[in-house]
Amino acid sequence: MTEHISALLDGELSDQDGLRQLEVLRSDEACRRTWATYHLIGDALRGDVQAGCARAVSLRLAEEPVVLCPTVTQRARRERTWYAVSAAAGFAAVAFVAWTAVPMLAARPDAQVASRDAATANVAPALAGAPAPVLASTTAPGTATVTPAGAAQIPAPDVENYLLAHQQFSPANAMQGVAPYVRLVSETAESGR
Amino acid sequence: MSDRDADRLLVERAQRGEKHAFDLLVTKYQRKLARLLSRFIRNPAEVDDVAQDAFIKAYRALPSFRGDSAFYTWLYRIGINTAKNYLVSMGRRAPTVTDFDAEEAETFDDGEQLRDINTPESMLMSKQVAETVNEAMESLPDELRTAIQLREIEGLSYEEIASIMNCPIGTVRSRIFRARDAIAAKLRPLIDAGEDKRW
Repeated sequence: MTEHISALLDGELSDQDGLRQLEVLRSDEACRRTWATYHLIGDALRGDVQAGCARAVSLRLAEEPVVLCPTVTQRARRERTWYAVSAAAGFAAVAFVAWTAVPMLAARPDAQVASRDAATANVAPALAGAPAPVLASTTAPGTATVTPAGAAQIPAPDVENYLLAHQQFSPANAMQGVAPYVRLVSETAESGR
Repeated sequence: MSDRDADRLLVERAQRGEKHAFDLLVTKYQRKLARLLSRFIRNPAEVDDVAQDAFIKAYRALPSFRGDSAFYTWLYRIGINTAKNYLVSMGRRAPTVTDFDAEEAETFDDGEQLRDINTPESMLMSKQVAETVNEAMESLPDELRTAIQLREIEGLSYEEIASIMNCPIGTVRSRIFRARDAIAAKLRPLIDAGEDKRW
């Protein structure tokens, strides 16, 4: 038993044996005396031989109210929980942004096709001076079959004008402001040729 | 379980209300703290009082101890602050902060000074204890004496001692224990018979 105290004093006991030995020290007065004597031997060998204050402190401690507080382990557990909650909140925020943004990004090609089709549909008849079938004048038949979803989403003519006028406010465009007009002008020139 | 781990466990138990656990820490560090305080408080009786106050303050402050630093480093700071407050209250110059820093806590060693300022009674008992320990050391077999010297004076781990003495760690552990046990056997009659129960 005292060999364990000796090893505990040197910090050379396994965790399990250390815990067991601390229990023994808690309940066994003789073991506590041994603990004190071994420390005295160590201090004496290091040239520090003097009376200690442990007894006086112990008497004063007896009059002190018992300290009860969360242990370090409990605090560490709470901190781990806090980190986990923070991480979960972060993931939730990212997931929300992704859930909101992905449908818009997915719809973007269709929107661009629709707007391009709408733009050319508006411009081509004006240049030709006569009404023409929208899909026939702007796209080849093969192209129309490649993007059936885009073709299906072509809005009515009165809505097209509205969409064109408010295109810069569309969230589907990554760049807002003058970018839609730049694209529109270039397409107009191409259509003119 | 390292020395620091053992301290941490004792602190956790003290934080759960086990005063015996804190008593074990006091037993462990009482002389080390007194040695530190004696660097700037000359009177040994005052050193004893301030050391007691420091331990009591540490006990009261246990809820604020988070375990970020070693227990003794934390106790060291409390001891320094207690000593400074004491010196100020006595109208004496307190040491500046730079005189002592936390890093010094682990390496501080100044045992010579205190022996010169002990009271006659304390000095007599100190002398007897020192002689008894020295005699017991002299009577130890070489391998036991070497093992405990390497541990207590040089501060080597069991693994390092095993390497130096070319023997298994279990043998080192056994030798150190047997050395302590032999010295303690000669020391106990002196301690038990002494009127001063502070030993």
